[in-house]
Amino acid sequence: MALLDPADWAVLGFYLVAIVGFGLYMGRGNRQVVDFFLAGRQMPWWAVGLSVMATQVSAITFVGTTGQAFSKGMSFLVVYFGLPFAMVILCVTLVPFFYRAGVYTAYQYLEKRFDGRTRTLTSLLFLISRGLSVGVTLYAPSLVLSVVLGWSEPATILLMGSTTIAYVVYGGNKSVIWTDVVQMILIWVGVFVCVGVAIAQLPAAFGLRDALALAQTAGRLEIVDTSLDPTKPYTLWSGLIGGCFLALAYFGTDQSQVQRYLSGSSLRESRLSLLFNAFLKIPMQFLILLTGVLVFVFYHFHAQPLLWNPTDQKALQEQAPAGALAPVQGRFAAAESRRRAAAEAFAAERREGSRGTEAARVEYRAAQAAVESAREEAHALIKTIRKETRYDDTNYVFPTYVLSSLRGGLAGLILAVIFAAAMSTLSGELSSLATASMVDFYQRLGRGPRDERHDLFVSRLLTAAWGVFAGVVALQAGRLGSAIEVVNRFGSYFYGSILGVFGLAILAPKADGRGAFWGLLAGIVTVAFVAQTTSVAFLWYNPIGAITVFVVGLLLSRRAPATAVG
Amino acid sequence: MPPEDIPLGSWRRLYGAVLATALGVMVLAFLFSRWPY
Repeated sequence: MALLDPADWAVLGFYLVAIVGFGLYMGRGNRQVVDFFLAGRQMPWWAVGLSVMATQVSAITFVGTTGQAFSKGMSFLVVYFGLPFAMVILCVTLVPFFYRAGVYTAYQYLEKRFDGRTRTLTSLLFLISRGLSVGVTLYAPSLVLSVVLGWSEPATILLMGSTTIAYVVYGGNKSVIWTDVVQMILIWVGVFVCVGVAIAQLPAAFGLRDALALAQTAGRLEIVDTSLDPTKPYTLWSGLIGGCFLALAYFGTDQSQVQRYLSGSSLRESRLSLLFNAFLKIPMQFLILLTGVLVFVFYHFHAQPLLWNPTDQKALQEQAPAGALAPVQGRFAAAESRRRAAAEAFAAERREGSRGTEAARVEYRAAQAAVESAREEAHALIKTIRKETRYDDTNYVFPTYVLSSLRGGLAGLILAVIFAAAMSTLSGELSSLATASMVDFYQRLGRGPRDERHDLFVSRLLTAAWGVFAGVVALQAGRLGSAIEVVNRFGSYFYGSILGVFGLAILAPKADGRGAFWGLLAGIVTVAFVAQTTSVAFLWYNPIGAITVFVVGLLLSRRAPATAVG
Repeated sequence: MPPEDIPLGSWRRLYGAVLATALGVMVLAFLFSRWPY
């Protein structure tokens, strides 16, 4: 793999220094806990909107999503189809409730509506699931950089974690939001650069339409699958319904998002920030997935490794049984040549006026299958060497592309974008974890009048502690599977059930604390049971959990004496 | 917290615009995936 140019190092170095300096500068002047956690409730909608978006776009979004588009196509886009509906539902329902209650955390509202134990349980579930996923947030870019820069993963985790922790511990949510604004703008620039460069790097005789036609023939453009099969991960229905529930739960009940818009200067600003996200989210994900598809086409005309992870590629060359690797390499090289010839023949036919004959498509698909088959053989060899049953190196596709094909500071820019995506998510998550532990736990233990200076100190201490915890989890995350699905899966086990509790709170006036608490437990058990015993796709866990909590909560509340209304 | 300064009817129109745009984007995504390039 090519090394970075001095210009790349300069761009990456400048980004890291500038963002930390900017974060520290913007975060000055915190005197009270409300400043530290809610930026004094003074943020404009556009800054909150960019922050909401930046918190959701993690490095996993770049590394995992492009890799997924490369290997499986763009079907992942449907996950975001339900998001705009969820944003509108939240603007009408939960957001006004949070505002009227004047809370710091979403779970605080549940104590006002139900009881203390429901608040404690939901906040605890948030701390567990978000605490684990914040480790994955750190792990994904460390995985990229360990490959790209030849650094160790712990060193990368330390660099990324310490820079982010520095400005979040000092400046709190003000630093988080203002750095998110810069990072999100950088991410948008990066997305357009990626798409533009990928198009510019197509061979001279191979236009964008040829590239899209080829990707379509390889099944990489498939987005809308109307299948009703609940075991398929990404169908139109799982995207619209499961994706809507996922977005409702994430933006409505996950403190890392709720805290963003509670920092808005009014209900109007908070609502506008969510609607801003509703407009831009699908187009952005579309462009990121399109980058992965264009990288797929790019590697028809440029040499690609047998395995995308260079460490595994090296292990394969050094440890594969004698005589086992050479035939696979031979078949891979032959299949690549065949695929390139088939792609060129396909494009040549298109230039002559047709859209490519069926024979050309059949030959291309056969060549593509031969490439994938040779790669599967290499996967089998590395699985034997590593003594593992699963192998997935798609997360290494995009960084390999960036390093081997971008020059003149652009690789540095894209690496800075990956850093920005990771740091913007990490900062929001650390701040929200500290807020939930401070407001939902520490402050409830204390007796006597509040001391703002002491509370501010403890808030900073908790932020730093969560940063350290995230680093420890990150070091273990490599043992987990495809990073993108792992993060969503963690969330999906609890998300739907927590959403069900909030649904009970605002939609069922008769629901009480007993119903909410036991309904929540019933929802979690049901989702865990479904996840363990069936093949139902993870996007469905959210509606299953939410509906179970709602129904069980309502039934139990009706049997109990009416103690809490409204 | 300052009072609401956008009338309810305007919010409804805004929500409608968001949902209409989302549906439009989904249709475009579908057309993109099936377009005879």
